[in-house]
Amino acid sequence: MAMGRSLFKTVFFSEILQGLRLTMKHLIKGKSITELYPHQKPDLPDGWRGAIVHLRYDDGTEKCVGCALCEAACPSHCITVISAERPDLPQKRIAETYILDMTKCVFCGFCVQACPVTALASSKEYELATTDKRKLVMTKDTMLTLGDKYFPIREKRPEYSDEKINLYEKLKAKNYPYAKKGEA
Amino acid sequence: MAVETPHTTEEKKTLPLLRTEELLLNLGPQHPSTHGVLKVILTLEGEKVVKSEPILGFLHRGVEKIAETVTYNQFIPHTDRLDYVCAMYNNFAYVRAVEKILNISVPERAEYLRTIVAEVQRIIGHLFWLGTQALDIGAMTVFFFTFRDREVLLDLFEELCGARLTTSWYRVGGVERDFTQKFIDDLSRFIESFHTKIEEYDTLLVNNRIWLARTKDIAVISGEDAVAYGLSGSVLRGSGVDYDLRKVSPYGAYDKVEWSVPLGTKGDTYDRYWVRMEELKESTKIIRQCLAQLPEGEYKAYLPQVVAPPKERVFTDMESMIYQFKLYTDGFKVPEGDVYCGTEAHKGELGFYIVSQGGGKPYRLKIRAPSFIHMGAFDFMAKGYMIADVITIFGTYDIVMGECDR
Ligand code: SF4
Ligand code: SF4
Repeated sequence: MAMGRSLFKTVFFSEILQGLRLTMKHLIKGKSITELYPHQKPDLPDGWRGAIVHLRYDDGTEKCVGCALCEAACPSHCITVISAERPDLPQKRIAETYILDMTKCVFCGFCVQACPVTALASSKEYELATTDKRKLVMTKDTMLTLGDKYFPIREKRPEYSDEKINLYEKLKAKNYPYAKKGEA
Repeated sequence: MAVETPHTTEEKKTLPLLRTEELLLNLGPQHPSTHGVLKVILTLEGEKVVKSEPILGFLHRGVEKIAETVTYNQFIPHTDRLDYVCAMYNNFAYVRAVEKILNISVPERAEYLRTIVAEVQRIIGHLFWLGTQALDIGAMTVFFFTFRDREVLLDLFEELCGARLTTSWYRVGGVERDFTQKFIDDLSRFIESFHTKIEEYDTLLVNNRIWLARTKDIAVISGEDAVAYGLSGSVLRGSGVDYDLRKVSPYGAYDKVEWSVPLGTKGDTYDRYWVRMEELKESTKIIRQCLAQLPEGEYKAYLPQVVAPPKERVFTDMESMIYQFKLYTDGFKVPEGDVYCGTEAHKGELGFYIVSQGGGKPYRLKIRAPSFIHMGAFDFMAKGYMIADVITIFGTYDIVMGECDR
């Protein structure tokens, strides 16, 4: 009997028919899972790592203080920062030249994590293809414009106040756990 | 000396009718089923492979040399590009090696997060392998099905770390971002329904006579030979050798959950397929248990000499600010010495060997890439099989040239 059944299966290609039934089921009942990309844009989650942009404070001044920490953190060496004193406020510094070479950027987000004043952010800009390679060398102005597009809500320019000291005390009280030494 | 031509029919009969000789064939480097840019010089006798000589190095980018020029943290994005379909595993293996040489441990929650994501990556890797292997053999539908499910998981990675393939999510001393509630919900939903997907693949393959004919008794390697050639991962376990680093020297949360190591018997392509399908089921088991046990706590060790301090502290606390600057400009100091640390990636044992002379950059970094080691056994496994089987042998290793050539 068992042999008869296996012979039946062999002759009538039962496993192939089963497979065809499965694909037909998906063809008829299944819903489409593909996106018509250029017409239908993907829904990207927050925190997506796209092009790096510069941010501003609410009064329109740029956040960057020209410390060049992003330059040091970048694993592909694509950032160049030349800092200078601000002409109107000589005790403050600013990035006089800021160049980010998008052709080298690997979108790792290390610069964003390194920046001590959160002047950088990863935007959701991903359609960077262009016919002119020079357009991919971003300057601070282009990055600020992109930042205005993706991050319309700006942070308030901080003033040194008691609030900050309070926050520091709170954090200290939170007692961050220390990693144990001696086990790996 | 003039060659005498045979005159009589009797003489003609004793001579071979056809002139036969071995044929040299270049397979690759632009062949679509070599999974990257790999060239193999095949010596053929008719359709049979007599000798095969893999030529590697078309995708060599000098990653090991780059490692000597960047700090330990900066090398993490470079590891993404080793095995570019499974970046999380490379990150994991690398940060584990650095943690070993630094002699630090990570918080318990981070261990669980790492284990869960590593297993998700294993599922992605096996799905990718199954799809391409079936595509190589000619079963195209499986490819669409596996990529449909892989896409769901890649979307989860996007939610988790902001990128689909170049993840850079692991950090020395923990991970970069914590799970969101959405991530946990979506992952649980996927895990609950994953067995129906596995049934679909089985419907298409398990009894399919073409699949069986192309995989059964093809590229057989015995357990002894597999060990001798240094194979690891599912290729080794397909030959029945019970060796899984997750069991042998447990890391992460693998020793806190129940799971088993599936083993093949014969060591042919079908057994390796079977082992990988079973591993998919084991991975879902591990993820389900880890999600249930997931402890509360920090996802990054607080160790400002090594791990970047939390951002809110950097804004408020001068000391953290200094650590932040020190860390990103010079990197952390690693004690003198050398260390080897192997991690069970889904392709096999992915090891990092680091030599440090003290200071913020490795003196030498060597990557033990499973794909590279597996290519060493290629000649042995391809010998005597048909030329069409060579393609399935590429597939059965689950080889990725980015990792092989580095
Ligand atoms: S995202 Fe990475 S590669 Fe790109 S500029 Fe920032 S640090 Fe450099
Ligand atoms: S973007 Fe941030 S890290 Fe880079 S120079 Fe400006 S302030 Fe410094």
